[in-house]
Amino acid sequence: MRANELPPVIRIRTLLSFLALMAIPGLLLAQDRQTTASVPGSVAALEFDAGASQPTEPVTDRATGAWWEDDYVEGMTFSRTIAPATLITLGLFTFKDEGFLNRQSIKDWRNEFIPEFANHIDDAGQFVAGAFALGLNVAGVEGRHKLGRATVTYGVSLGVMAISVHSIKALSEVKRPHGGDGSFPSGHTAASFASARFLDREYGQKSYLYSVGGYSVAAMTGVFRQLNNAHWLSDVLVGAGIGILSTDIAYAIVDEIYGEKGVNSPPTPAPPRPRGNPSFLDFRVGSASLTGDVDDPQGRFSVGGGWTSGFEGAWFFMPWLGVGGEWSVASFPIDNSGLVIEDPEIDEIVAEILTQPLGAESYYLGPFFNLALGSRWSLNGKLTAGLNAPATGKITARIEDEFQDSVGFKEFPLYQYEGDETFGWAAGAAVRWVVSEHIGIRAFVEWNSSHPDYTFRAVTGVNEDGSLIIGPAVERADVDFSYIGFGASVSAMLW
Amino acid sequence: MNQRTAIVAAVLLLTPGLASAQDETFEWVPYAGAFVPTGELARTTVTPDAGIPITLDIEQETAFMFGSRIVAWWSPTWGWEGNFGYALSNASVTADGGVDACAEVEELNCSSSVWMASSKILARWAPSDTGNWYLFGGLGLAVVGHVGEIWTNGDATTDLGGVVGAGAVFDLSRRFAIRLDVEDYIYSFKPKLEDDPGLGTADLQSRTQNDLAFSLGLVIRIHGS
Repeated sequence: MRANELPPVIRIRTLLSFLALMAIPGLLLAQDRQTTASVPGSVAALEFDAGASQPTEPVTDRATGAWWEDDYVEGMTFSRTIAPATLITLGLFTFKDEGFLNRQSIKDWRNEFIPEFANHIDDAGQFVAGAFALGLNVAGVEGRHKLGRATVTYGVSLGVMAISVHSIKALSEVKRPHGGDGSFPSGHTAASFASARFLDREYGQKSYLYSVGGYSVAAMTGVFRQLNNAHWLSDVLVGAGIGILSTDIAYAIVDEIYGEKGVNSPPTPAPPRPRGNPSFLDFRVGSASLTGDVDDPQGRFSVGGGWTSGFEGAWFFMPWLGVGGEWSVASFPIDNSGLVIEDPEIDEIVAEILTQPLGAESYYLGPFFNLALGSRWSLNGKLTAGLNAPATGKITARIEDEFQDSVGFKEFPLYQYEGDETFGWAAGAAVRWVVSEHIGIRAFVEWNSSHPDYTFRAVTGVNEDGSLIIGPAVERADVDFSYIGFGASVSAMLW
Repeated sequence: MNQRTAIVAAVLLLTPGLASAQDETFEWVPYAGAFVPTGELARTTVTPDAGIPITLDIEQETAFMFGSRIVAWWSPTWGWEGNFGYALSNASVTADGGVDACAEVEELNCSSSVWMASSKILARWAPSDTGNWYLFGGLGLAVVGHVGEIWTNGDATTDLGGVVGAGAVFDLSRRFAIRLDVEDYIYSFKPKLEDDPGLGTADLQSRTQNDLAFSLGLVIRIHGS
């Protein structure tokens, strides 16, 4: 889908996210390219041998080494499974509520910036890629398999995925971010990645754009599951891994059953073409450290290290120069240990003060630079500027458990802080290593600077509908919200 | 799927594997075994109405478990395994003096289960070049969750930890094998209880857990191109 075909109601944030998400599937694309080339030689060997349906053959009669050492085709299983293994491992790693890369931080960010977000395009995203692949087949676009076999493969894939996902959902009983049941893993994401893998394996050898499109829809589905507060990050990552594995297992099963039947002739490999300019889409995540002085002069609050994540992409019209944009977010937890409640009666009933992180979104445009250092390495730079949108946050008092019944609530908001949208700019540098034709990984460092005005207001009450009654401004401050971010990113190279 | 295909699919699981080299091989390993927690899960103190505080020790019981693994061997030596296991392990709550609180306290429902999800890097080694068995070991990340009635009012009952394991695989054919596993799930358990009718309200101390899992599985190898 080209950007100018998107409906206008899609907000810039969504558009940028959608486009840049194409960088994530690059990881998947990179590892599958080499496997498609192996199809012709191996198909004949896979034909089911009915004569082999005899009692177990001996496995001890070998002259040299174990059977797996004799038969193993090095690298093929690795290249197919490294992506889902990585996704599942990352998903398990994020299955915690505090510490580095925790699932709670994504929920906090969502509730901080877009608490009312609700867009159920993710319902449709589950089967788009699969239906598209079958549609191409029906329309006569020759994929890897004929329609019957492709349909069976997709059906087996969805069956394996559904049994796996729903079994784990039922047994693990993980609550969703919004409180519902059946959170882990994400079925929508599993279905969408199973579908994307199916499209990739059927048509990826014809053009990598099929694969990019499929995985982008799948990644968008996973992101929207989180934006809709329906899933944790861990659910989505593990769901994605299960979805991909389900399709690969389905291919293996159907390969064994069908053998050569229903296999189309492999396409003639296109001659290698020279690379174009290094246009790219990129997803990054890293650590961030505020350099501005945002600590409260009265010592009530201090801000330490945080994290940053974002998407960026650029179209290079020359080998060394391009234009592009970025959407990024940075979030910094606030240490409020210096805050003292002066009223002893209130202090007695308050268990702790909870302060939402200080955060901001950046929507920047500007020039991007590239300096090639051989065929795989390059130095990248950017100088972007645009809108910086600070988040609104609350400072909340949690009531001691024994007073919650008498007071009538568990938490009570004390203050609200709100930053004005302002101008911001960023400068960054990165070193990119091109892993394969369409995938690169980068180490980046960037400086992001803005000076939003923050207004602090006291909460004077709560309306019957739960909305806050906000008092007049009690404090207004120009905050130097500048930070250095560094980390890693993955790029989809669009030469 | 026509009749021939259905028959072939059914027979497939009963046949030896294919002799020629394959591009990718998955191992699906359904298994069953025993879940053996080795330590106390948590300790809390409740004060009955107008009574003396009572210390309650909460443990997870040894129980039957089952699960499923997917294994992908990346090289003759190295591989990856994704696993989900489920143990029908009730909790036991012992009060001061060895009183079985699950039996004595009407409000306390001790039914519970434990699930484990893990991602492991595996390494294998065949002691004999011509044998039909090999040893393997692995370690990785694991998430262990405690669910069931006893944790209905609990929070933070799921935690990220690690898993180490070792075992042996005995080939029956190129398609089938028997797999023995022993695994140790190591994690920190720190439940928070809120207004629980049997256990009260408590932010329990974090305790490092070592839950052992002994299992016997059937390896089913699926070869693709």
